[in-house]
Amino acid sequence: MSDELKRNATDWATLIWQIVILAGSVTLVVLFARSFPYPSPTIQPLLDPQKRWPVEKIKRDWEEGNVPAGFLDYFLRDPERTVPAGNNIVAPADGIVRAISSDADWTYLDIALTLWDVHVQRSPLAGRVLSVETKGDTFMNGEFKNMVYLRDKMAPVQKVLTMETEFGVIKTRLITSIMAQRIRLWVQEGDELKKGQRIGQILLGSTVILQLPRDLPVAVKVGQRVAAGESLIMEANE
Amino acid sequence: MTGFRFTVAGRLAWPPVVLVAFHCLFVVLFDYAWRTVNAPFEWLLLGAAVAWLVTLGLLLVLFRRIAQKRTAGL
Repeated sequence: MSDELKRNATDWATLIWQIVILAGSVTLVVLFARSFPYPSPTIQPLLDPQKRWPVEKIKRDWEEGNVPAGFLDYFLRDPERTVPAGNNIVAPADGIVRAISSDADWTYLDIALTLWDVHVQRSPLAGRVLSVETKGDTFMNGEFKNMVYLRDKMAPVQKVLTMETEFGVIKTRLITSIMAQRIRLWVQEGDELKKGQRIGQILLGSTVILQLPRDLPVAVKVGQRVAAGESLIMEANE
Repeated sequence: MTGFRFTVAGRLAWPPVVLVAFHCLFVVLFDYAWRTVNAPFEWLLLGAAVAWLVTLGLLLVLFRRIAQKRTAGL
C-alpha cells in the first residue's frame, strides 16, 4: 500500500512537471507569434539594442503611447566620456555626420542622432555662454535638408547655444523632431563651460548642428560616426 | 515494438512532452538565429532543416533505446 502511494505521488509530481514544461513551451511560441515580426520578449535581452528595439516598432509604440520601459532606460543613458586634451574641438553629439555645408561666414556640421545614440549633448570646447535662444516653430521629422534648420519661419524647433571661445563665436543647435518635441538645456547665459561638459539632452532622435567660423578646418567627413565629447571635429596646428 | 503512447500510468509519456518542447524551443532558436546570423535566409533555412532532422533523429533513437532498456529490465 505504501509503495503504491509512493508511486502515485511520483506519477503526480511527474505529471505536474510535464504540464509545466508543456505550458512553458507553448508560452514561448505564443510570445513569438504575438511579437512577430518584432523580436519576442524571450530573445530580446540577447539582442543588440538596434535589433531589440527596431525603429518601426519604437515609432509605433510611441504613437500608441506605449514605449517599452527598457527602451527608455537605454535611451536616457548618460555614460562618462574621456575628453581629449589639447587645442581642439570635440563633437557636441553622438551620431553620424550627415552634411557639412558652408556660407560666407560659417561652416555647419550636421550630426544626425539615431534612436540608439546617447542623447546627451556636450560642449564642443571651453568657453563662455553668450546666449541661449529658442527658435523655430514646428516639429519636423528630422530629415530636413538645404539648411532648413537656419530658417526662422517654418523651421524645426531648436535651442541655439552661442559661445565665445578661443576660436571665436560658435553656435550649437539642438533640434527636435516630431518624436522628440522636447529639449533640455542645462546651461544659461554667462556660464563658463569646459570642453566636453554636458550641455543638454534631446528627448528622442533628432539633430545637432555645430556652427563654426568658416576659416576653421573641419577634420571629419560626411558619413563618419562621432561621439560627443570624444571625437575630434577640429585640431589646431601647433 | 510497443507503439507510441501518449500516457503512461495516469501521466503523460515523456516522448511527446519532449517533442513538443523541442519544437517550441526550435522555433524560438530559429527566430534568434534569423535575427543575429548574417547569412542568406535560404542558407539559414537549410541549416535549420538539417539541425532539426539530426536532433529529431537523435531524440527518436534515444527514446527507442530507453524503451528497449525498460523492456529488457522487465
